[in-house]
Amino acid sequence: MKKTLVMLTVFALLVSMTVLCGFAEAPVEVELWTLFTGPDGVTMSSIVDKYNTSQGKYKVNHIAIDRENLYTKLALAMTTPDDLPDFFVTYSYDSARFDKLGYIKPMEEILEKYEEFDFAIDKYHDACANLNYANGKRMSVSLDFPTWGMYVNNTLAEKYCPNVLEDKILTWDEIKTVGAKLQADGIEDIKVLGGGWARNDLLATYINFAPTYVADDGETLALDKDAVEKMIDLWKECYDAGYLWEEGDDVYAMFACDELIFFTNGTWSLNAIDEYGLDYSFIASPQLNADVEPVLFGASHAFMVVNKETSDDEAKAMASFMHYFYENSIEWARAGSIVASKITAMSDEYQAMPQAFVSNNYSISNPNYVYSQTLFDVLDGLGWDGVYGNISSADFADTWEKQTIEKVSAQQ
Amino acid sequence: MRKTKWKCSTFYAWWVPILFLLPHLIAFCCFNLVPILTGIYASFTKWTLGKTPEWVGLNNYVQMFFNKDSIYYWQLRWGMESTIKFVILCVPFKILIPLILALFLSSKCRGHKTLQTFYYLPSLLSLSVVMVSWRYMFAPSGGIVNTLLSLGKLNWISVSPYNWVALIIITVWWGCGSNLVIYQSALEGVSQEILEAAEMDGANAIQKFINVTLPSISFPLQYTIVTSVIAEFGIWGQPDMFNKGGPTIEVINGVNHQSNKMIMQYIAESGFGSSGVNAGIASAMALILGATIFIVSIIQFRIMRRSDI
Amino acid sequence: MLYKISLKKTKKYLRKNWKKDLLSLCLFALAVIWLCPLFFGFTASFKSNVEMKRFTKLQNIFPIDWTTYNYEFALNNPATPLGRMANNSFIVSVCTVLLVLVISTTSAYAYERLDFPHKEKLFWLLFGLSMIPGVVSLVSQYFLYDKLGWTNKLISLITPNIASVFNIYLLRNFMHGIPKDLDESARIDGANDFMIYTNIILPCIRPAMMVVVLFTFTSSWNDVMWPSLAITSPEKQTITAGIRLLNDSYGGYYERVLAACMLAMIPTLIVYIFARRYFMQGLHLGSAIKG
Repeated sequence: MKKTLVMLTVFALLVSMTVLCGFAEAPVEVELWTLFTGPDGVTMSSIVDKYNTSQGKYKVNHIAIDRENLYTKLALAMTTPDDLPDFFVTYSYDSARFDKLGYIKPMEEILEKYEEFDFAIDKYHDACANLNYANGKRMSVSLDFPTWGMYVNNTLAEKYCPNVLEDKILTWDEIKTVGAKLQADGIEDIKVLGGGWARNDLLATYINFAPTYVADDGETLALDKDAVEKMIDLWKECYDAGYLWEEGDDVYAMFACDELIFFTNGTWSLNAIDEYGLDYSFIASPQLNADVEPVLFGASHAFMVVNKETSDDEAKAMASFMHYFYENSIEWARAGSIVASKITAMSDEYQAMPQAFVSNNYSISNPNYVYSQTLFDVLDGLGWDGVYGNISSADFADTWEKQTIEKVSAQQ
Repeated sequence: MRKTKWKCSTFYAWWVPILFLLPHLIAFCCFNLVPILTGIYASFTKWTLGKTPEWVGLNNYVQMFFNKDSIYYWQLRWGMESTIKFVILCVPFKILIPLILALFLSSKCRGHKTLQTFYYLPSLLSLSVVMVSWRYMFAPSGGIVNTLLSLGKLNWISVSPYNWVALIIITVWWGCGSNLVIYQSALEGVSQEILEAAEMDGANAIQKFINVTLPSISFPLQYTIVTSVIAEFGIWGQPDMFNKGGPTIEVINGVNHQSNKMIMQYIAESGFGSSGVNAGIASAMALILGATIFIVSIIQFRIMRRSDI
Repeated sequence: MLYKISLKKTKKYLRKNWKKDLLSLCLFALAVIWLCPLFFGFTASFKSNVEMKRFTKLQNIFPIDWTTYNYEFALNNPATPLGRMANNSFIVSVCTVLLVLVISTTSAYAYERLDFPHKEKLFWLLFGLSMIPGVVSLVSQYFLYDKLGWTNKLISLITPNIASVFNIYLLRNFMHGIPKDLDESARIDGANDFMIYTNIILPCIRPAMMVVVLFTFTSSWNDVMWPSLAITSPEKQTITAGIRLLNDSYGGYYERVLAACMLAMIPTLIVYIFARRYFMQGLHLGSAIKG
């Protein structure tokens, strides 16, 4: 009798559990590929984990893939939808090319499925109004802006060029005066400026001379060769005069060891440079003219949705995550980035961060060229060659233009 | 003699070789041949990944061989030039250094086992460790090499010819372990009796090496020469991580010639990479490289067979 | 007389040994220089990110503050389950090695010991086809595995490497040194090809096989390109390809990569030490080796 009772209870329990499990719906899973490896990947994964535990309806599966590979994998997976993620994060300037190739679909299709949140563009950083649109459609939703700026060693700057810290803008003329002064004083182991990455340094200077490198159609390269020559000549002049680092120097080590007053680098180095233990600030990269409001060269990490069949639930899951990210960007900001979410940008915690000055005061530019990546890759290949004097500035301009055009035509 | 035997036992002779060959042939055809044939087909197309390949006939090859306005014409020339230069400079060291080490170690001096492990150790490493460590070794300002040899600020990374010296040192360091192992293994098999007999006849160390040791290890030697040449033709990771191809040394027709940019770097650049790719051009370039390697190997075999070994 | 000879021998032995010890001393000194970069990589894996960037000079070869943070980061990073990845690498490398051994020894035996029409032509055709650099076929390889439904599965990492012609070429060369009299006499005793292969050839080429084991294992373990294309899920990734994910896309955290690489090197070192015992036996065929 007792035995039967126990068995019955167990049976009843089992049945009720099965029924309950049957009713509890499995969450809708979506796969997200990002180029965030290393520490950024850890932050992203933790945000995703928090999102997944914050609600039970949707589950995001985050996979970090290193940048170079992500592009190849996307291209390969396009032919076989099973291997594709639902959405992914790369740079917003990729969206025009991906749209042309049919990799991604307009964001609106996804966002409108999730009425709980209004994804209006004015809720995002002003640069999004430009960067998130491609071919007339909203193709991406920005997370943040990896932006090229400049780190200042405040102690050295106060000693050698206090006026720069006042207006927080370093002009090329100032670089020359400070450099000449240092040399006149016989100070040899301190240089004025160190360049962190040729590609971004040169592009940041280029947009000082010319507003864009692309024609209105977004597809034709309109590189202002005159501006390119001027940009190279300007850098070369300072380099030859000995105001900058020397070829072969480790600029990171120089900045860390108080041998550089200014060091151009991206927002992504904020946390690493913070650990150097210097008194530093983050301002705009060198400008031609202090009277004009600086425009920084930056890109944007942005969500894009893969062009494949998406169920309403999946669309909602993606939008819901993007919404969650919008509202909880502060963790992302702590990892050292200029966030796209205005609600986060206005918080007190964000305003106290070093990048806030730049994001409050300056605009971010990144001309919408379909083949930006090719242009950048060619420039990466040339690097400092022009500045070090390996090739003339005219050759530099020719080479940059010609190789970009030909590589673009090879992929059209 | 074997020929006659084959005739005698025709009963099973025809299926025995097939049985022995089959595992490899099946694996090769399925997993190697299919991709290779697709690659050959791709070389006649314009193929942006994600789109379907578009047949262009010999256009890729024509561009590379005859069109001086095309960047690919110069990429092929310069890439090949650097690669061949690298093979010629690097392979002798990759053969001689391990051979000398193996000869020394085969004398069974004290601690030879530990020493062998030490010399082999770099070959166990993956590319990233090798390149990160060596980048710090060769750092121009305050790098270990410059400090130890008090060379000041010698720029090993972007000044020719130092970039070449650095690349060769790195490649030999990384790759000579495998040859060392083969030589040691072969030297173990060299007949001690013949060596002693030669010694009795009054042969000195060099004579012994040339007359006894060298002929006994000729096949392993041949193997290492051929495989080292093939491996160095495919050099890519080291220059790519070391200096991305090095400084520009000249500009022709709007194309910049980088000092140590190898053909494989150009291939990878067109075939993969972050910007849009053209797998057609990359495949064509790779086939030209493959053909070159094959011809070089054939020439090597001819020479080595004649000098016999 | 007898005494004289033994004295001479001892003297000679001593003289010889003295030279050997000097040689070993020189070789050890050289080994110190040889291992310098590796040693630097090892100590750098105990540096913090700041130190790595800030102190790159010789006097800073030892970290000022030894930290195991890089190792902890590598091991505890949820995005790179290194233990899981090592396990995958192990499965892939071991399976590759076993298949390579079977495939290349049988095939080398056929080319070296058996006669069949167009033997050399076939070998050189395969050899020639293998000269085309692998990167080109990576893309088409991906599509092939995709058709088979093998992407994101470990089998896709095993199969591309098993049919290497270079292994056959190596084994062939070593097999060439085994005197044919051995198989002839076995044949007279009534052995067939299969028995000759297992009982005579295989034991004789064991050192060469161990070389193949070592090379195949190391290259399979250290392969990065193909695994990172074929495998997406970190749970299924191999360790060497997975380690790349420890760095950020700007390459700012190489000390963490180094730390993980130091750990990932251990299995290859073990395989090397195990294999060395065998390939150091040499061919042991004495005078029978034919040039």
